[in-house]
Amino acid sequence: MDEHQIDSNRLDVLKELANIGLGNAVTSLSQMLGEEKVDMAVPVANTVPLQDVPDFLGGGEVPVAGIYIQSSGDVRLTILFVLSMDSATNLVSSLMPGVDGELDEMAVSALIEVGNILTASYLNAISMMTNLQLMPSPPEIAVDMAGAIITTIMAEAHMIDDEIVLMKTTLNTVDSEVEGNVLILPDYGELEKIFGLLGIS
Amino acid sequence: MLGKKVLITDDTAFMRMTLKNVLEKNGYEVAAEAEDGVQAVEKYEELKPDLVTMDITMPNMDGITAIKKIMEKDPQAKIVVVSAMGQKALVIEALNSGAKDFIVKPFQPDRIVEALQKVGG
Repeated sequence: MDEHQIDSNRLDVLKELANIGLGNAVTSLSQMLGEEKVDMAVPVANTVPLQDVPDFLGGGEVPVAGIYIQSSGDVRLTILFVLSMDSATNLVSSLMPGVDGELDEMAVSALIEVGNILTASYLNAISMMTNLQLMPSPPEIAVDMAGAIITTIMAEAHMIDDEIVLMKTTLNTVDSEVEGNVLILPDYGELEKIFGLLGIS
Repeated sequence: MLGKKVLITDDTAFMRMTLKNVLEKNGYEVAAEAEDGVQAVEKYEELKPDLVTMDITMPNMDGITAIKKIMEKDPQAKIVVVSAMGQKALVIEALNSGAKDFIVKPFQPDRIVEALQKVGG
């Protein structure tokens, strides 16, 4: 889809937004884990065919826990935080010492709150840089195959393009063995607003 | 200060539990927990707590609306926002609506206690 071509300058801008926004999110996660060190891979930003999105999460068939929010306000974005089942239970154990393994109601609630704080930290940083007001929806969680979660999100966000812009990074906690992927999926039209506000034509 | 009654408002059970632990450890009594703005307004009227913690992003009724409704009914209400959303415009809106302080999650337990002490006089 030619009208949706994004040049490398713009992808660089998105990468930097992801870097700063997710840097804040990682700081928040570290604080929630009692100042444990959390590493973040350099974010990537790329245009990706819709059907390839699950590949960024290790494939469509992999069972995962996905926590996602959609921002309203000035720009519509979907932010998705994905954990393998092992990472999800490790994260719960770190947040609630003495709890092991079972993803019961309180554990799921803890994961939702992590997703909430991560995504809000990202939105706060983007808001500060662009003066956009970004309001998150209450977070939702799904435990399912990665492909199914992506499909649900796409449907809810009414993403009908063949390609989407995807920003991604991977977080790693050093001690508690949690690895998570963060995907940021903006609408194409919405990206124009961000670029406009940053003075990039 | 001991025994002040607090209404906790947050849509996630985990955050309500975390706040409850912090408050009870510091001598506060948790009067009730509300899961959204609607419940917060109802429980505020019913229980008249000394202090309220208020999340912003919640289903059914958000925290800003709930603050406005509570302040309408009781202009003396002491509400402290505890939200992951730290955007300037939102903080200003919350304070203009009547919130006494704004704490961004994740928080240090000390920060919560300090804010409640300051607000609770």
